[in-house]
Amino acid sequence: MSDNASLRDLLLARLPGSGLSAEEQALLRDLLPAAQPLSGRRSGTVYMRSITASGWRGIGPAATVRLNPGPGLTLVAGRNGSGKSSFAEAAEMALTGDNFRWQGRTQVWKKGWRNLHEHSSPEIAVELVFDAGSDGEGAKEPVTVRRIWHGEGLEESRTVVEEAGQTTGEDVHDVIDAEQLSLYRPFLPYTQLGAVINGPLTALHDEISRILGLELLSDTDAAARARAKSLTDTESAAKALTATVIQELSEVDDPRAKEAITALSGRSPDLDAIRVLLQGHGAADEAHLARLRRLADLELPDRPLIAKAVTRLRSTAAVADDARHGSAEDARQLVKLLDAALEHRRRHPDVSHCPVCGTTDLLDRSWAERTRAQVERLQVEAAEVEAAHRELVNAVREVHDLMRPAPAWLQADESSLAALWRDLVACRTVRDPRELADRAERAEAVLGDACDQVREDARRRVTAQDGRWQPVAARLSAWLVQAEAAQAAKPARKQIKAVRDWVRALTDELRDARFKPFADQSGQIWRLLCERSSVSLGAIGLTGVGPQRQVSLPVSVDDADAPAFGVMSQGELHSLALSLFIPRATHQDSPFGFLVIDDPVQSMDPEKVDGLAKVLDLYAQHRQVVVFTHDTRLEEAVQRLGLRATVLRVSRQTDSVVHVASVSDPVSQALAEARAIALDPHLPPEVADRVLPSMCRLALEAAYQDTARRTLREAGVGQRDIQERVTRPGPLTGLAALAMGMRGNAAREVLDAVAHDHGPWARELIQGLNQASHQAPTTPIGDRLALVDRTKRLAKEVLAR
Amino acid sequence: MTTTTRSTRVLPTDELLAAADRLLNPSDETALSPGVRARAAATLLRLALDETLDAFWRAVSPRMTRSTGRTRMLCLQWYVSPSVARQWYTVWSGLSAACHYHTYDLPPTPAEVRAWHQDVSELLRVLTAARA
Repeated sequence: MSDNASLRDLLLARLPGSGLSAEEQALLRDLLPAAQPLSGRRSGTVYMRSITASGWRGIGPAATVRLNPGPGLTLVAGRNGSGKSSFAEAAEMALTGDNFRWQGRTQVWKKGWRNLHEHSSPEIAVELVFDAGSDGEGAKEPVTVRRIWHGEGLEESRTVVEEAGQTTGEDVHDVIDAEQLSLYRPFLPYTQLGAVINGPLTALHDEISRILGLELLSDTDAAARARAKSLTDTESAAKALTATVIQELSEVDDPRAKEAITALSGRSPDLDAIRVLLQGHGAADEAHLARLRRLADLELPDRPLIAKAVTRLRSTAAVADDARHGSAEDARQLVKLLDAALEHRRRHPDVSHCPVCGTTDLLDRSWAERTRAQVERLQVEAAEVEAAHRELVNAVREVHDLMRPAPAWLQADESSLAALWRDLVACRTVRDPRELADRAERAEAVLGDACDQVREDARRRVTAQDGRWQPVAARLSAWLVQAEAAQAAKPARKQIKAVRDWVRALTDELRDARFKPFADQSGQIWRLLCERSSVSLGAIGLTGVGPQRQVSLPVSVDDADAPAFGVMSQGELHSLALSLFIPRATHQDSPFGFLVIDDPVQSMDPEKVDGLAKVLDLYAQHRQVVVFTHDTRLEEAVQRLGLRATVLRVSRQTDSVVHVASVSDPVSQALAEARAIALDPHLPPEVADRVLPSMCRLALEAAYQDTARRTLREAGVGQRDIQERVTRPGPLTGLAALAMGMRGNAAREVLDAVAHDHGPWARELIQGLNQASHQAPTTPIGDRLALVDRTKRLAKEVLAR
Repeated sequence: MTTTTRSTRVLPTDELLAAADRLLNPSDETALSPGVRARAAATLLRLALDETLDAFWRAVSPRMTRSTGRTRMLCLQWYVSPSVARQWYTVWSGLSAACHYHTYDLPPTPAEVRAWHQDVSELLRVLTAARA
């Protein structure tokens, strides 16, 4: 509904100045229900162009009531049983598929809907015209909603929608929104008038509330309430879970569990402490578990590496020993000696005897060669010994290097292990390879076994602790999620409360503002209807909430408060019903431009009939008001009060042959009054000169208005616009220009067009009437009846355009 | 509309109103029933309306007093205003119906006639002012 869309805009426009925080505003935007797409494919105010029925109730062969599809008052008069109510019911039935008269009736009653004289299938149809409105779509084709019965029951019917003689395939609800039909109720049958007040006022309260179009706000409030409830649920669920978890924790033997209990037991749980605990950095964890974890992860001396180094040490030591105690060392000494001998020979090449033993001819060339070869061999042997020595030094260093001290924390912690570790380190001071190898091997074996045992033990204990802790931690994690949600819920709940307070205040303000015009209209209708009644109606209101809500009708009799229904006559009750129903049916948001009232005159005294005529005239300025009436009192009142109305008369012959004839319309009404005056022989000329032209002008004005409405409507102009342009005060030529579809409205051009269309006499008639009604003293009008006749002729031609 | 009252014109219109007023608010015990008094008051009020309209037309165009009641009413709107003319006709119609006996209609209530009394006083004031 457009109304809801505008309410949404209004609410959003009010938001920045609402005093709500940014979060609260965002929350409210979130809570607003999604915008509803428009239901029904057709738009624009709908008016009725005709009602047709055949084989329906009192109507036998097809009969049609033709209506002017725009604002105006139409009285459909006919005696009881003439079939006029059948038309009213046909219109309602065609559009709603239901009718108040049939609701809750017995089967016997429901059988009476079929006409007794007509044996073909009953059929009813309403021709609708959609106002061009403001969407700029231009003129629209009339749409016919036709309901055809194919069986015996009232329900055995189908409805087709036709446009330009073709079925459109639309459902009737595409054309007429069923919900809006029940909301605004443009049909008011006599039987319902009494039922309005007899029904529960709670229902009336709800229906009027819906008309005020504040559903968006109540929907928003309902959404906010639901959100608040779920938040409260979250909070209480978290609270309940806290108690359960504390209970579970107390059964777990773990320092972390104790810490968690402390964190949970406060007035508001310490979520941060739990978070830290779950990440494994809790205080209890530090002290006890961290040590276990360190022991479990203890880094041992590398046992295979040490074993390998010790083995190497032993073998290098053996090699080095062999080198020292064997020929190698001798070779090194001998090389020195032989080198010296060779040097001696090089310096004394001619001396061949040995300076040591004195043997001659010994140190010859061949001796030199043999000796050189021996020196080379001996040098190789010496190098091997040196290499073995270096190897040994390296092997010792390697073992020393592997004798690493314990980690610092361990030295202070595990004394026995630390002592073993110190034994290992002490090996560094041992220089003798064999001793080193033995001690390193022994120390490593003792320490390694001890470390393996300690580590294994620590690992077992950590695993055991974690095994108990794991489910507890999972539980705590789940608790944390809920507790976090609950923590977030608290401020959110406050936000929702602020939002709801604001929405409620806005609802009250808008309801009062929107209901006021409604109440004012009801009051106005009541005063017009019951001007002379001793019962007076105060300001009606929507009061109470919940089951106490109702429409308050403050009634007083001769200034004394009284219960509404006890003191009212039947006529006054009907007046009250009309006072409540007419503002509703003619509400500005209603898509229905028409209002059908069946027999409102019953049980009304003459005063009220005059008042009713005034009320109908008032609403006919902007609505198509169709009134079905069984007697002539309303018609007389309309004539007496000089109100403009079209009067149709329904008559019924034997065999249900129903005729609808137009007996009066605003043009013929004005012409009849002019003729009555023209026929009065005692009318003084000066009065005739002043009065008759004005009356004839009125008749022409009515004719031009009627045609102008039609022309503008066919040109696609909206009813509101038409009403404004047609009723705007101005010269007759202005209306004539509209009726002839002329763009300009210069008097001369319009008069030329009139002369062209109807002949020069028409131009002279309009000029004469204008002169007479604007200039005084007036020129004599001559033949009075001839003037009225000429006016009638032009009016008829104008209407026939 | 009848013109028979003209020959017996003895009371000015304000005295007709005063007489109607006395009938509607009797000061002492009276033998007349409320229905009879209401109907008599209605007759006096209608008489006052007729007198006032006649006086109006005599001042504007004396020959108008011979024309029909409908003519006088219909022409009135062009000399005073449509609303006054319609109001005159409405009140006059109401009073006419009230001061005749109808077998199918109940007599007017004193409250109704009292309301007409107010309407007539107002119309008299407006028409007298328009005549001047």
